[in-house]
Formats: sequence, structure tokens, C-alpha cells
Amino acid sequence: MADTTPNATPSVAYQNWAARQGRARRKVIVGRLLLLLGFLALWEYAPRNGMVNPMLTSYPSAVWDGFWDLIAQGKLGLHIGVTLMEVMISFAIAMILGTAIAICLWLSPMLERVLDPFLVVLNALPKIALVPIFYIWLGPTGSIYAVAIAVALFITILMLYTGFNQSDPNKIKLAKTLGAGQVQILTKVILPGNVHTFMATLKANVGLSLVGVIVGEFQASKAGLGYLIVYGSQIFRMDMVMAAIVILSLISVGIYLIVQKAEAILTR
Amino acid sequence: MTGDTTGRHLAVPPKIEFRNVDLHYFSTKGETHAVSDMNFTVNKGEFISIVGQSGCGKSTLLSLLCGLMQSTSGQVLIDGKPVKGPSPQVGFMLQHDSLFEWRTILENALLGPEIRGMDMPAARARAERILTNYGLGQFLHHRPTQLSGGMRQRAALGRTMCMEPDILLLDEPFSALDFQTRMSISEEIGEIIRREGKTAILVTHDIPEAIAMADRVIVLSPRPGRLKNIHDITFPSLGEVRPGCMAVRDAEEFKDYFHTIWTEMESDG
Ligand SMILES: Nc1ncnc2c1ncn2[C@@H]1O[C@H](COP(=O)(O)OP(=O)(O)O)[C@@H](O)[C@H]1O
Ligand SMILES: [Mg+2]
Repeated sequence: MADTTPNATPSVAYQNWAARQGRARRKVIVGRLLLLLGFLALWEYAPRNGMVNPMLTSYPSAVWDGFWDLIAQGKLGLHIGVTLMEVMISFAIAMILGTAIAICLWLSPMLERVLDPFLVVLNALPKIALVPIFYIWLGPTGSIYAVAIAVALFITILMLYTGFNQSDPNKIKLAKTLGAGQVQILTKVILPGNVHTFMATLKANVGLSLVGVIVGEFQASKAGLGYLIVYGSQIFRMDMVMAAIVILSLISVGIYLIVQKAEAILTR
Repeated sequence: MTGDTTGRHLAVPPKIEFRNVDLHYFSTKGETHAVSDMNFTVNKGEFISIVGQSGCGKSTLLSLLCGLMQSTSGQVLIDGKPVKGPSPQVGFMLQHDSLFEWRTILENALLGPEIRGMDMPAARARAERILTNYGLGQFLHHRPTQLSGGMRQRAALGRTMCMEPDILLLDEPFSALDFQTRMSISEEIGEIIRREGKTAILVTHDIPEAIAMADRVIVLSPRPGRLKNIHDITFPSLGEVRPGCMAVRDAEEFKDYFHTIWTEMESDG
């Protein structure tokens, strides 16, 4: 058996190596902070000194004020809550529906062969183009969910189905020799062997659902971060727009980190 | 073929019988004649090796015997009854150990009982006992990735044995191992199979391995695989009781068997 346990007492050479690693890690962190600070400083400096039009770009201190302004109005929580709920619901529906469809396709190769060209076209179609149609059919709220689900659904089906199909044929053969039927191959080999595919799909969908929801909110809505962005730009409050965008990126990073945590636990 | 070699007239049918078996694969690329007019029998407790060039239908024979597919014509019989599908009676060890890396060693061994809906507490006790016998007692709750190649192969044998099969099919199970591990693990697994009185068929293209482990060696022709010859392997110079796989490699008869089989396979070009 390969022994990978480290030595109990590290040598001097190892300690030097570890110290170098530590220094390199600190340099990376400092570099990142400098980049961020440099960007914020430039963003603050250039509009204030007439190098760019502050009406168009706003600047960090104004965004900060805009952020507190939104909180003072007591509406920020509502906007964040509305967007988050729309993202969560459409994300969940796209995942569940997509997984169910991928499983059906795997269980029935005939169905897969019939549906294949349609799925390819639907996946390639820019779903954003459907926003006006969804709006006419489903109204303001329904269209937001419809876009967000449509954006994430087809890629979910295709990613999962591809993963299922790439499962180790030797493991499938082995399960068959032990007497497994289609359903048992699914539950014992295909699904547990595709946890990483599932996680990759989840990660892709976090971003996609968010895109779908924001675009849906652009078309028509009375609340949500997408609404805030459109409204802010209409009344030329760039500070409000920028604040909403910053919050949006924080939300997407937050959800991504949650998914990553879940992956670490599931694939332990 | 005459009735004598197929054992058709015996009161007790042979453990395994291939009767005029033909197999054709059909694919969009065309038709492949993989096995042609196969006839042989294996008695209970016998260890048979099948050798032949790559692509001559060795794996196909095992798949037929395991019931993963049906012959195009002819019959494959176990205990005189046609094989209809996989049964717990037949255990299959593949070239890749195919341990599920998301399961522990013990959970891997319990895969078969789970699939067959067996009594799980009893299966668990059996799996623990078998794996412990195979020197894996310390590793029951380890993941396959934490084990060496030889240990993984023993775990795979444990998974097969947990179903308590009386026939074992081994499809080049040692070919992914390094030379040293291969020698010791084939000796070890050969011992286990003989000790437990299982009927076994080993497929390999390693002639020395085939001779060292088997009571009889079947030589197949290149595709479509036909039965070319059957050699009885005995070592009179080593006495009444056959010694282990390692010891027989030094016997005088061993070189002769090797030479004969080698020449037979060479002549196919
Ligand atoms: N599923 C399949 N479809 C079509 N041809 C196959 C299939 N499986 C095996 N064959 C062909 O049948 C022949 C025998 O294969 P196999 O039994 O795997 O040979 P071996 O195990 O002796 O190397 C080979 O020529 C192989 O290409
Ligand atoms: Mg083969």
C-alpha cells in the first residue's frame, strides 16, 4: 500500500520549504487586495477629477451612500428577498425536472433517440429571446420563472445525460453479473457514480438561474434586484444601479460557496 | 461431436457444458462471428484455463456462461439446465476490479446481496468473515483508492465470494497487476478457489499462468473462436498431491506444456 503519511519530525529543508510556501501564499493575498484597492481608487479618483463623467460611472463612495439610501428606504431586503426566492425556486425546479428527464432518457434509449435533435436545438436556442413570449403567455411573475427555468433546464438535462452515458461500462457489467436490472444499475452505479456531474451541473445552474431571473425582472417586475437596476438606470441613479450589481455578485458568490460546501460534504 | 465428450448420457450432468455454441455479434458496422461450434464440458471442482489470441472470443464465452447474453445457436448448460440469465450461482471476476470508489470495501462486498435482496445482517457477517480471511480485516471500512492493486483484487474476489457461487469465471483478473503482485495474488486466489472446491474458468493470454493454475487448458483458434485443443495438466514428477501454482512452474512437465501450447498458438500466425 502506498504510504503517504508525512514524517513525524520535519527536516530543516522541509521547514524552509514550508516557509517559502507561506510567503508565496501571503504575496498572492496582498496582490489581490492591491488590485481591488487600485481599482476602487481609480474608480473614485477618475470621476471626481473630471477624467470620466460621474453621471455615467458613479463612484465607490456614492455607491456606498446609495447602498445605505436603499436600506434607509427599507426596500433593500424586499428586493433581495424577491430575487433570491425567484432564483431558488427556478433553480430547484430546473434541477429536479432536468434530473427526472435525464433519468427517463437514460432508461429509455428509444425516447432519447427520438428527442435528441429537439433537445439539441432547444439547448442551442438563446432562451432570452423567449422573454417577450413568456411575458405575453404567463404575465410578469410567471415569465420570470419561465425564463430562469428554461435557461437552466436544457443544459441540466444534457450535462446529466452525458454524465450518465459516460459511466464506467465495467462497473455496469459487474452489476449485471450480480443480477442488477436497469433500475438497480441506475440506483447503484449511475447515480452514485455521477455525484460530481450533479455538482458541476448545480454550479453551472446557480449562475444561469440568476441570469434568467434578472433578465425576467428586466422585462417586467415591481421588485427584485433586476427591477432595481432597470429603475435606477431609468432615473439615472447610477449609484443605485451599481449597488444592486455589487449585491448581485455577492449573492451569486454566496450561493456558489454553499454549493461548493455541499459538494465537499457529498464527495467526501 | 459424440455423446461421450458432451457427457449427455451421464446420470449426473457435468457442471458446465457448451453444446454446439455459435455466437454472432450484430452492430451497425456489421456482423462479427465471435464463437464457432463450441463444445466442451467442465466437471464439478475442476479448474479450467482458456487461452487464445486477443479477440478470439474468450470473454464472449464467459459472458454466455454468466447469462449476460444468449448464444445465436446451440446451448450453454449449467448442471444440465440452459443458462437464462445471471444467477448467484455464477460469480464473475472482471479484468478491472471495478470496485465502486464511493463505497467502502465492506459495502462493495455487499453489493451483490443488496441487488439480490438477500438477508443483509447474514450477508454482512459473511462479507466480514470472507474479507478477513483474505487479509482485509483491517481495511473493511477503507475506500478502494486506499488499497494496493493486489488488495483490491482480493477485495473483488471477496465481493464475488460473498454471493457463495459454486462457479467462478475469471476474465484476465490479474492482467492489470505488476509482475510480482500478479504471481503472488494468482497463487493466493488459485489456492482459495481449490480449497473451497469451486468450479473455475480462467481466461488469460498468459500461457504460464494458464498452466500453473489449471487442471486443463483449452486452446482456442483466432476468430471465430473454435476449440483447437484441450490439454490435461498433470505433474507426475511432483507426486500425488498437486503443489501450489508457484511450485509447479519449476516442474519438468511445465516446460513441455508451455512449449506445446505456445507452438499451437504460434501456428495461427
Ligand atoms: N458488443 C460487441 N459488439 C460487436 N463485436 C464484439 C462485441 N464484443 C466483442 N466483439 C468482437 O467479438 C470478438 C471476440 O471478442 P472477445 O470475446 O472480447 O475476445 P477476447 O476476450 O478473446 O479478447 C472480437 O473480435 C470483438 O471485436
Ligand atoms: Mg477479453
